[in-house]
Amino acid sequence: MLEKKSLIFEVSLILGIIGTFLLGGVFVLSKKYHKSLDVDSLPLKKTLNLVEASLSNQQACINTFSKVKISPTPQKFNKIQSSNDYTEFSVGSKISNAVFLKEMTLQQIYQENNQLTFLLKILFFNSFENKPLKYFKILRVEYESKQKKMTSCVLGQTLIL
Amino acid sequence: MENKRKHLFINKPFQTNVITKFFVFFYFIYVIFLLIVFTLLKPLFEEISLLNLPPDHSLSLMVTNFNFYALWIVIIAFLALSCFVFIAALLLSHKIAGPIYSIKRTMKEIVSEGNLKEAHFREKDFFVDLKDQFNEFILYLKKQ
Repeated sequence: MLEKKSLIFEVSLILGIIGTFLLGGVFVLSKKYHKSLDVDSLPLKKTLNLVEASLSNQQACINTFSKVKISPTPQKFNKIQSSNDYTEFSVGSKISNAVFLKEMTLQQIYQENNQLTFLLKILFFNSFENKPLKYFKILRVEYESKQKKMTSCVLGQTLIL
Repeated sequence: MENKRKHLFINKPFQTNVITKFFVFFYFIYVIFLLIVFTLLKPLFEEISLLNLPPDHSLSLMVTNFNFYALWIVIIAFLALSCFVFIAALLLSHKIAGPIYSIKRTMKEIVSEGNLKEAHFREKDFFVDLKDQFNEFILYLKKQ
């Protein structure tokens, strides 16, 4: 049937398109593969998971952020504390051979009564590639208004740039 | 146009033969290439497996990723290249079988119609000299 109906040009064109698409697939897979070999991404992911796990503990979150000055401008701080006030993570820590923690800031972005919303920014730096990696986290914090004491601390969305 | 052939196979046995040989050659080259790559990589992977690294170690993850992606890349690249090999074999065999088909058809028409006529090839057909020689022969017969 094919012999009588198909033109050689049409068959070549269809096969050419299929072949090109498949080659495109090879290219995409190769890119994905190279991305998966990024040696620095794994320790970085582990560190970020650790930071999140740590801060999702209410007491650790309060221990960390109650020492930081509340301000609408970014306020630098040095340590992420555990629930028993042990320093878990500090500025200057090495994440991998190339990446280290460069800076951590906390910035108040919204206030409603005694509920405050903060933006936590953690800046990592790849010294081999001279490339920064920014990690943003939204925090909702409740304060006891009279004593200006942090009473609850809830982690929100994450954004990595 | 009289000399525009629309069939995919104008000489099926010949074209099938050419396409099969193209594929056999391509498979041979592809397998040799893969063997070379795996022969070069095998000692490296053996050395890594001897290290007994934990599965979440970056090197173990690299090996796992390589095994996964390499398999799919080899399969997809094979299919993509097979398409191009088929096109190449088909076009080449068409250009070889086409002139022979034209000459045969012209000869058949001469016999059936009893009329001496010239052969016509497609623009990109091979063996244009065969057509010139054939037409020269027809012209000689006409003069006779």
